[in-house]
Amino acid sequence: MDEAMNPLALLSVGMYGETLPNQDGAPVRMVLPWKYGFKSVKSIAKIKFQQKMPPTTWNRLAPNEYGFYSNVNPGVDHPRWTQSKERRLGEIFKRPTLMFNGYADQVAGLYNGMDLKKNY
Amino acid sequence: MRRILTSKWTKVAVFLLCLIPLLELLNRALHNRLGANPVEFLQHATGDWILRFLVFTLAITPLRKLFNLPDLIRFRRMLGLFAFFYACLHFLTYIGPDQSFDPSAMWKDIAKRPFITVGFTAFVLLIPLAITSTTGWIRRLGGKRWQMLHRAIYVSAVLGVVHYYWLVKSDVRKPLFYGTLVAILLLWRFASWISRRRSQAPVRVAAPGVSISG
Repeated sequence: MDEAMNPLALLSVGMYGETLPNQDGAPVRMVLPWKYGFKSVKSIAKIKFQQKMPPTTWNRLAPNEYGFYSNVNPGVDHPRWTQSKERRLGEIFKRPTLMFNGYADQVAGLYNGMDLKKNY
Repeated sequence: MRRILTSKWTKVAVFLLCLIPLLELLNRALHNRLGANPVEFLQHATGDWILRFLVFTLAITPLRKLFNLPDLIRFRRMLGLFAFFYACLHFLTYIGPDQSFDPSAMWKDIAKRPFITVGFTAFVLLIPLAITSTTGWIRRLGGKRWQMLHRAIYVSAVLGVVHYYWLVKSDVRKPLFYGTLVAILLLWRFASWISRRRSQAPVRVAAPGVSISG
């Protein structure tokens, strides 16, 4: 809930000035800039408010690889690769990935007191 | 056919043909046509060509035997070396753009990601083969030992296919296609080895059907 209420969170119906294509999560996808590049919520058909933490697709498929939060965290390796570096479009060499994609000032507070190695 | 295969111009022509993929990539690079992720494009293109050249190299012996064209042997070394050449380019795109020429990062990555581990192994196995590809080395090692060493290409080709298969996320048709080709070429060798062993084995007189136990 806190994540959804963050001013950076947005729902998107388009991309590059055009309607969002199916493969990118049509009709509506969620864009959380500090998670972008890990796993995002796509193809939203309905929104339900629940008391308990709901199961998520990737967490159900591979619980040891994908947690509930899916934050971009260069300090925590995915079991099969590292997420410490990234290549931006138009660049040849990789650069170090920033904590929360560089939005730590805005969103780190959401996870205060959480062990981000456990709650990945 | 024999005249074509033994002409030195054919060898020149094949050499130039083998350079076309490189020229095509250079041309794309110069005209900014490597797509949104140029590094990945180069990695995939060079990777494809390694597997193709490995298949071409492995196809020489079966084709020689099946179509009775012994002169095809003249092209095997060149095709194998082109597989190695594209493997070097492929490896360069990995240690450069991916690992920023940082050996410690590279070793960590090789240990971490299984598809990198097998790909790296496949590449390393090709290095001694490229070095010992000269006539001088064949003489120094002796035909038998040289041949034993160069059978490492079988391992390299299989690992190359595994590397590709583990890399793709869902559409495994292309890795399976290369895998099938490599499997056919290796099974052909296995079959011909079996039949050679059979024909060489001394004819045994059937033992009498009495078993002595005790």
